[in-house]
Amino acid sequence: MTADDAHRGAERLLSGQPATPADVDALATVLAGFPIENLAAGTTLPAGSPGVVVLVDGALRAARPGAGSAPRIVGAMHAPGVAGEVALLASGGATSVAWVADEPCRLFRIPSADFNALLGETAAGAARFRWIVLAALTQKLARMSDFLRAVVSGSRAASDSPLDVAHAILEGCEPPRA
Amino acid sequence: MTDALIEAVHRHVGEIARRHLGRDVAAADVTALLDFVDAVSHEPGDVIFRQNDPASAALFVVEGRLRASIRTAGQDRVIGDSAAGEVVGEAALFRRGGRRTVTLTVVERSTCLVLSRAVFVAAANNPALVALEVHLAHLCAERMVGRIALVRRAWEEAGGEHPVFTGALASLLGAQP
Repeated sequence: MTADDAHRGAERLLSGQPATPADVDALATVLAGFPIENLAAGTTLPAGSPGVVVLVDGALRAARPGAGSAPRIVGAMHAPGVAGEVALLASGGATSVAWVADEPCRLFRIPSADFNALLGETAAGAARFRWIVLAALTQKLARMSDFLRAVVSGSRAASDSPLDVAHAILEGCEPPRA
Repeated sequence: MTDALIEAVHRHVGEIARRHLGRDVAAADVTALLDFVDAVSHEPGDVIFRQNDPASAALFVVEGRLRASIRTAGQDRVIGDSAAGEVVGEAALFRRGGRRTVTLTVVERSTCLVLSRAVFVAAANNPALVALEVHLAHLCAERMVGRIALVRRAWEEAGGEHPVFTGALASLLGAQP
């Protein structure tokens, strides 16, 4: 991967935060340690893949296994986004959804051991990486709270499967509209 | 802060670092972090913030107990308590223009450290703050998994019936400790 790839990825990931150019540079040094993957539209990342997906370009659809049927698409994650970190942090496990590239995508896949090690480092790049992870987690929690509140208050009709919506939120997807 | 509270901060941060990072944090690093943060104390019944208030900081609970509630359909529902060693109000730390998603009320006299965005920037490389950030990440993940479990339980109790699901979910949310 080129330094430009890492820098552009860092810019995308920090775009929603009050970040400085130095923050972008620091995060780029972390990303430069991982290969960037280019996925063609239609490529599938199977469920149970360990580690964390950091999407910097494109969109991925999340699919949950159906009961005796084809997987169901439960939502889509648009770059920039992070997925897989909830299962890893909560239980050390892997995500339960498969990902299908909706369009050409660029992403980093960070192995579980590297993810855990990065979280605990004090270097500047690791600190910015934690911000990305915490931003993703807090946004997902806020969305989940909004969803639960909307269902209970009746302002959102329950969808075919509220569990699918909840899992979509957990994975950083835009939940499908009810 | 009193000596007892400072000791409590050291104890909590040390436990957090050992649990999540498998290592200790030097006392000097905890002391250095305290130079960056303010501490606030509240009495039982105080409302620290209300749902939809603008949000700019999280709180690390050093002592006491706080209760989070949400208002839906004209009803306040308790969704959980936070005790010493927990972080609350983190939703807006990493987003611009965030708002509080819950109302936070003091149950037992409490003291909290105020973790603002400025603290996360100024003390970014402090090992004690690193431990708190990793702790916060784990708390968020566990809360997400807990909410998924709530939805699953409500859906199962409802037998897949949407009107029943709404009531079951409301009941479970209201029944949270």
